[in-house]
Amino acid sequence: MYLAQIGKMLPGAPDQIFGHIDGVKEWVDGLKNTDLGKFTNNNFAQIEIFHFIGMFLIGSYVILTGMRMMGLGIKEESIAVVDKNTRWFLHIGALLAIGTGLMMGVGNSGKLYSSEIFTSKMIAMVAGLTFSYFVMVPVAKRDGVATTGNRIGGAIGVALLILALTIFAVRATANVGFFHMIWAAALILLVTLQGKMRNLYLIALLVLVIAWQVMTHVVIPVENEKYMLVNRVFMYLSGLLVFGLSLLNIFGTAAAPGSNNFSRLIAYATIIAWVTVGAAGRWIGLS
Amino acid sequence: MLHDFLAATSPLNSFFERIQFHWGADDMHSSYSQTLLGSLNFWGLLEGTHLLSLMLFFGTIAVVDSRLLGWTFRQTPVSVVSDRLLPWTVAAMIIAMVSGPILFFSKPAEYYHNFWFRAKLFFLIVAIANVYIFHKLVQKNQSEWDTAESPPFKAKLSGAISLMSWVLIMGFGRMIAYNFLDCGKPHAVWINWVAECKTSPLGSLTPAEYAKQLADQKAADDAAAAAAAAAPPATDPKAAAAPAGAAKTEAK
Repeated sequence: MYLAQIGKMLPGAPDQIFGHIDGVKEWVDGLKNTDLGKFTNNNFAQIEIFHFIGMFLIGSYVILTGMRMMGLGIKEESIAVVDKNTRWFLHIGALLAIGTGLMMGVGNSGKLYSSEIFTSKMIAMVAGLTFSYFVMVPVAKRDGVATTGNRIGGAIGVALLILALTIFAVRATANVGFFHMIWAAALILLVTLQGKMRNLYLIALLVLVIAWQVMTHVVIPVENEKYMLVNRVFMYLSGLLVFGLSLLNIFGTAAAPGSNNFSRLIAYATIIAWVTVGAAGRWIGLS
Repeated sequence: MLHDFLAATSPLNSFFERIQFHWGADDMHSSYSQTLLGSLNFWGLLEGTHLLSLMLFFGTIAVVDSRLLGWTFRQTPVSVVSDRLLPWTVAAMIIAMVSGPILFFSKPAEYYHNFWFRAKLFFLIVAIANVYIFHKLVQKNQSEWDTAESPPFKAKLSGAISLMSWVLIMGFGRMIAYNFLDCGKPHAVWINWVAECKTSPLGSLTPAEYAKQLADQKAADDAAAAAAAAAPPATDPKAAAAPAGAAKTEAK
């Protein structure tokens, strides 16, 4: 109930945000009839493939540089070297993803205008770009040393990411897709947690997943009205476990050597921001 | 000829149809495949997981291939890049290899005849063969070029084939969702051949056959219109209704 109230306070679909401005809806509706809109809709499949390749290339940079910032990955090289060698993936990926994304937006303007998940995706994208270009790249260039400007950029990015995740988690049409972010963070933890902590975490996660499956497949079947509620409770429980341990990992417990708190925070947040962009995009397609 | 023989004798058509429409189905329930496809959330989660695992997979394999091509990490030994990244590539591959077949299970009879699915599988075989050849032949003397900024031609070729194959696999994978090359629509002979449309429930259709179908239909419509025009105009509604009813009965 509280979450539903929070949901009402957050930005909704673009038509709820911009609906009061005269002429916006007509302009949005007319976009698909422009030359670019027609071209996109005639070649949507091919454009979408380039969009995915762009996202994959961004993933390449943020995973490699992010993992190195967490003291993992290509440890034989410094963070600056990993960043230098993979940054062109980020540039090409961002150009491809944003360029084709704009085209797809023009072709699908009507659908996106009334999509709440689209709002989440756009906020997550701004967070991802802020993290990548204003924090990760400059911090990686200096081998993990952050300036005040980077920290401010990081704080803005974290605020945007929390907003995007909250919209994703509380909106009825999207919250199932929230599992993607939880599992992405869970997988990062599986790699980044070191020693006994990793084993304990793995056991806790397995117990949670098994209990969840038993509850939603044996105890409470899909026809039951409480099914979605139980699903959601387990989503928040697993989310809390992963989020709590991520914070512990970021701020010092069982982290890989050779990394600092801020670098780990930025690496986690940047990867999750781009996973949110990808997952939200997929859920726009599915909704 | 062998292709036609295999297509005609393949038990896979009926096997996949049984799975898609009948396995687990009874008077009260749909088949397991249809239940999966119509699931409230599981399908979406599965598809999203498949896609995100590809993000990790491609994100890491692209760097390894780029190193083989001499595009990146030129100062870092090839073995360091591959040793550090390939475990992640394999982990992502395992997730994709689990989620992929489950996705296939949702519509096996349709995917089996999907042109893009077959193209994807073909390049998957190319990519796997490339990995095998790389390990057997190219890596044999890796110690000689491990630290080279620009690896030898055979390593570059292997990297290029790998990169191209994975891009195509992912591209074709996405195209499976689009139906413009589905069987039953007019396509070039070779597309029908690749998808074995002849044995699919929707059948095969070439542009020439489709044009002939349209021409036959038009000729039939024209003949019907001419017959209607030649028939004497009905003056009495009851008299007009009688021949129409008789014609209907004959047609039956």
